[in-house]
Amino acid sequence: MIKYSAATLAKAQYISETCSACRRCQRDCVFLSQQGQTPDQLFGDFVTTGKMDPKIAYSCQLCQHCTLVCPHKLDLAAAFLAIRQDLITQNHGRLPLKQLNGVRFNQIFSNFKLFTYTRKGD
Amino acid sequence: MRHGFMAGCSLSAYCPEYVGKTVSYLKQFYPELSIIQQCCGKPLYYIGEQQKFEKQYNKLLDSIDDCQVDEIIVACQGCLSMLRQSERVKSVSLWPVLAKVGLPAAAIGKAKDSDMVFTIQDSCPTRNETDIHQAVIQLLRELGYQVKLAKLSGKNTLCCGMGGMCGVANPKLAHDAMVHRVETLPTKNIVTYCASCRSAMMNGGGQSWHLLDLIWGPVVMQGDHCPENVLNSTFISWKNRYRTKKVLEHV
Repeated sequence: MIKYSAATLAKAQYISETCSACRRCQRDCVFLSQQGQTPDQLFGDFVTTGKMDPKIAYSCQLCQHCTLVCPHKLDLAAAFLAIRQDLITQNHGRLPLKQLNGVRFNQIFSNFKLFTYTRKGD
Repeated sequence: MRHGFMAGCSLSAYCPEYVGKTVSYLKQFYPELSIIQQCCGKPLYYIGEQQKFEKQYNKLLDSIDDCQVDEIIVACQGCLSMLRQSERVKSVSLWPVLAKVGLPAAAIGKAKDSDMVFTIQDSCPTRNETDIHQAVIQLLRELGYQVKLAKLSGKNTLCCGMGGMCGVANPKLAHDAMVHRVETLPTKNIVTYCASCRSAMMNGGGQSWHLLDLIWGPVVMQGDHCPENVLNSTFISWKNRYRTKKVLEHV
């Protein structure tokens, strides 16, 4: 079981205690509306159980529209990002979803000399 | 002040020729322009690979330092949002720069007889940078196109569906978000200034043009089809990134 950092749990706890379940964040976010639970429920469950399905943590688009419409300006993206970071660091660098390996490969290829170029201007 | 230019990975994967034309044009105003063709590492940041991200990001900052760039002009909103986090380099979006120096003479008013009405998909990483939103509207109007803004635009914009690596982690949800975003827009003829957003808008059922398509490409009329969605092909995307490097070597 992943041991989440105190900073991550604090972010989640703040959301679970502050969110008033107004559902404004769900109105235009496909992720939050399909997910169904309000942020107070989602992060409350996370704090209580110490678990979150990685697919949920990695489904947030981190666009911060929810923060914009939230009456409390809750930063859900920062909480999901912190959970992602813990999922990797607390699991010895192993990625929690196999499809994310594509991102690692993409990054390795991106650094090949075939695709990079730097030229100092005159 | 010494300037640099950074196209970003997705624009390079989309259209090498337009990257080259943009650099050539910028060099008229910034003859000392340096070229930085590197990844900022944002995909690693998004998936939570913080250490690997920092290594990649610092490598980019070192390259910018090596070129003695004081201000880097960035075409990609994702890269720009990452560079904004650094105090080591000053960064500016390409679009306000183009609005300031002006469009190429041949592009000004070229679409004045077009019947096309475009809406804009603003990029979510720069939702708080209103100067970018205003510059994009200004550039479209100077080209001669009519613009109909979405209710959810500017700082209220919605993600195109590709954000946060959702397209990799949960492709079904990402596709639903793309379709939803296109449905929230007042027309299916959509201008983006991010190559990933353009691809997403097409995957969501829209017709989408990158702003550089409209500056450097042919005039678009109602009923015209947008350029092919090359980012859906891994092979073409990497081939284009190689071609962009080759184009930049000779600009």
